[in-house]
Amino acid sequence: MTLGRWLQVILLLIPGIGLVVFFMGAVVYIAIAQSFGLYNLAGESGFSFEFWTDVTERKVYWRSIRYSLYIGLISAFVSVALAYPLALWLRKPFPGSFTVSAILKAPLLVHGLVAAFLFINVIAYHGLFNQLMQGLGIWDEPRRLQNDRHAFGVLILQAWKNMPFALLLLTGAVQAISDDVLNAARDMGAGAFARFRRIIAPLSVSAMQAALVIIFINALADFTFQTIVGPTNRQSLAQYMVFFRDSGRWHEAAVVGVTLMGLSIVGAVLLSLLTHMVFGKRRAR
Amino acid sequence: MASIEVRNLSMHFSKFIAVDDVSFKVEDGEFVTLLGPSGCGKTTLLNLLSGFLTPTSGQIVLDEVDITRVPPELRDTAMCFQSYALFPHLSVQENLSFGLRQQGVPAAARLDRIAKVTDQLDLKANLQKLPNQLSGGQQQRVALGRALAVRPGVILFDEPLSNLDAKLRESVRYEIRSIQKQYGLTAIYVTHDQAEALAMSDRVFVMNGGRVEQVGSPETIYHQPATSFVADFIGAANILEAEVQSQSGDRQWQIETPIGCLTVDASDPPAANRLRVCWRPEHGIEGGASVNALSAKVHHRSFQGNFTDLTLDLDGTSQRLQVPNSTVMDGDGITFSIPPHTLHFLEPIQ
Repeated sequence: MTLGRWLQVILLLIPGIGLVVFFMGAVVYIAIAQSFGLYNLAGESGFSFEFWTDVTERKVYWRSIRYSLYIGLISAFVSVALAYPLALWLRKPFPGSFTVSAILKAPLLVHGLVAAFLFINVIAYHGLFNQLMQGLGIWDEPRRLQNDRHAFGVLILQAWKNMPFALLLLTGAVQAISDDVLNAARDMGAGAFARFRRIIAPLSVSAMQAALVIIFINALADFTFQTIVGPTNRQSLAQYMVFFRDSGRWHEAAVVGVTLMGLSIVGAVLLSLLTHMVFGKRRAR
Repeated sequence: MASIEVRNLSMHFSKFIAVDDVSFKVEDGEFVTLLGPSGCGKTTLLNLLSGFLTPTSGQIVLDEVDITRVPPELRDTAMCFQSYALFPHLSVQENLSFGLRQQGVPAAARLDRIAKVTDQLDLKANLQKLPNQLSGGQQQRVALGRALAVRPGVILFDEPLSNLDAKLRESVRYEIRSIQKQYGLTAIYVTHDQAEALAMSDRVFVMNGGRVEQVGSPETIYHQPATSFVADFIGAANILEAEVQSQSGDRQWQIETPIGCLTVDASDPPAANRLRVCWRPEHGIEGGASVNALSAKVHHRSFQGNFTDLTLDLDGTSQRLQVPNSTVMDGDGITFSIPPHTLHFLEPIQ
């Protein structure tokens, strides 16, 4: 293409992509700049490493990173692991499959906050689950399930909310695999696991990567579920960022925000590489 | 190698009967073709043999072992699919070794077997390519190689040549047959192409409406069709309703047909007084003859290279005649005769 043609293409793209890039770039720039002491909204501005030094020296910062990574990774893997068998089950239409598929995707339409409060009703000290267990005679007295220290509540909610999204991506990918290819694998002696490992996963690896990365980023930055059902002795990065912002410490909040963005990028790249290494194309084993 | 036997096999899809009480045995090293029109049940039967479908009733026995409920991955069969069904993300070599890895064949033996198959099928130069980098013929070879590499007891072909052009089809057909003979494989081949069936098979099973209509060698199927369906489906045939008038000698019958009184010379007697008879268009002889001589008007003439295909009108009954070097044109009169031994009795008229 000639230079003039390139210019024409760029000019045509600017109103659309240009605005997106500009606004995203502006947000990233402001966050990074604020983390180094610039753009102070409540006081004097000035370039400094002070806020990075201060925040990274705090144990709670590193604990938040570990906790958010734990929530992000487990949520992504559990959601995808639950979505795969469902996607394979729904691969071929059968009577009622449309209804089943619609019901499974319903959580996409429920707001996270609403879902969290509904979940509280189930797991509260006098909630439905405790009553059921006592009613069945399995438990003698109610047990504390809310705000559990391993964040199982958060993970359940994350999987409930994100599994339909993974299902949406994976269903399309597994539907694209022809029956003959799967039958050929069976015919060549591949059982269910070998078919998944050697045929289905490699042929749907792009959808798997997309699902893992998007769910990971979403869960890494979780605030809603963590605030309502998360453990009280742990803070997620989003929670920690809000803690700084609420006390007007914008630079520290920006440090946590930039950390969150960095972890999202690094995590996304690592997850993509991992899935490619394990299930990537052109692998016979 | 193995023999495979089907006993009273039926497959119902709700109210539709795809395979209806079919029984047969394919001997060790035999090449059998399931031939029939679309929807006759031949692919369903193949899917039952490979294990992708479970029959409604009946038995499949492989080397005296009942495999009716055995899943495909545990059966000693291998299938060549119509779509080739190559694994798109794996190279040719990985495709060929897939089944061997599943069987747990050691690496050295695996490489040895792949080398033999690639030599045989001329695939050496393509081992590192992905399936989408190959031509249709090469993909077909890889599919065949993948099936051959696992050395199955029975190899199943589901219309494997239907996606190839006519010229390539002929050469791959020859290749498949020679490899089957060389390996001594028991092969079951599904096709709706009668030329393929006649050229390749030891025996042909003609299927219609979920049933096997006739079993026999290609020659038997062609020259002695059992029913008007088989006669019509295999090659071109003129089928007439007839009434037996009299018998002369051991094997000669006079019959009355819509095109006139004809003499039939047949080793088997007619099954009923009123029945169908057939004759092949290429068996008619242009010009006069004392027996079965007929006059007709040429309705349509079609030059086919080595013969001329004539559609004749015999007092309102249409018949086809294929003769070499005919000079008659549309609308001309023609005399021809049907040799008595080429007329063949079919099923009775109900």
